[in-house]
Amino acid sequence: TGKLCCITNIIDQTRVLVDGPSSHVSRQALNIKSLHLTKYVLKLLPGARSKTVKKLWDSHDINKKWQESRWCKKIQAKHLRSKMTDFDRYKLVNAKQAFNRIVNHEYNRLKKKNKVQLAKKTKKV
Amino acid sequence: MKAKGNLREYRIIGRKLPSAALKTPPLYEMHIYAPDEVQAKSRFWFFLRQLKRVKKSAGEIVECKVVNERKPLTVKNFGIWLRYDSRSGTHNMYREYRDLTRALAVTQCYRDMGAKHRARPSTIQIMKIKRLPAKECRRPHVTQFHDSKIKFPMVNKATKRLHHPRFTTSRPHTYF
Repeated sequence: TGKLCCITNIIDQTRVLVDGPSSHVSRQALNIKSLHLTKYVLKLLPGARSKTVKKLWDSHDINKKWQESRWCKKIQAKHLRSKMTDFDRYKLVNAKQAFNRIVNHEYNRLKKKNKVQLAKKTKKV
Repeated sequence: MKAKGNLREYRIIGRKLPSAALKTPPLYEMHIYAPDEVQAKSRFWFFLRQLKRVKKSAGEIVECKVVNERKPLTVKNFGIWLRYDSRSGTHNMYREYRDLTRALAVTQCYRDMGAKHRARPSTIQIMKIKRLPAKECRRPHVTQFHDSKIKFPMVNKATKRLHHPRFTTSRPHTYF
């Protein structure tokens, strides 16, 4: 469901015991295949209680770090994109066109300027 | 018995029906692992008939209660003693499983016996299940996880959503 949780213990080759008291994930066994590993590591003893996990999680401010990470932002952007209505798509097209218009105008202006300068240089020679 | 889904542990107490000869028959208690109450009661009578001279038609079930695990969120090691019929004889076995609850460990056992010995659930009898501390475990597939600094690589995983999208220009992410 796209939430962060901490692996507190390993059950066997395919399952782990997972807990996320600060991220609304109840303590449960999950299949490893349904997880993605992040770079955040909490130093816990295996089988640590929810209280310990919460303390370490909050002291390392994992929620804040995650919200600021690119990965999280990509997920949120994807979610927003999936929620778009037809009107939103129309607005997006118009915004893209306006953006590209500005960029292309500037780019072509610089290109033309460069061409004129190059012509001047070759003429001199 | 059909070991459908996850099994549950039932504590079943039954006795012979009271009669003129026996006003208060002795109570017999069993812990049965079954998918539901109906199959649990059935297994109870199956075992009781083998051990004592009482049939379902001449007996009654006094209590049939689900036993929940005391601490279902801690990882435990279980040793299971069982008896099963193979194609050419009946054997005893001792197997070890690592799981959260007794019922889940027994479920694992039934699946494992089916896979490795082609044993059907009706031929398996769980004789005893015991929670083991780490040092009493004998099987290497369980003791290999008794390492507080355990680490193993998470090998590339296959894409679950093969058909979402079915055709695409970008390669799927197989990393963890």
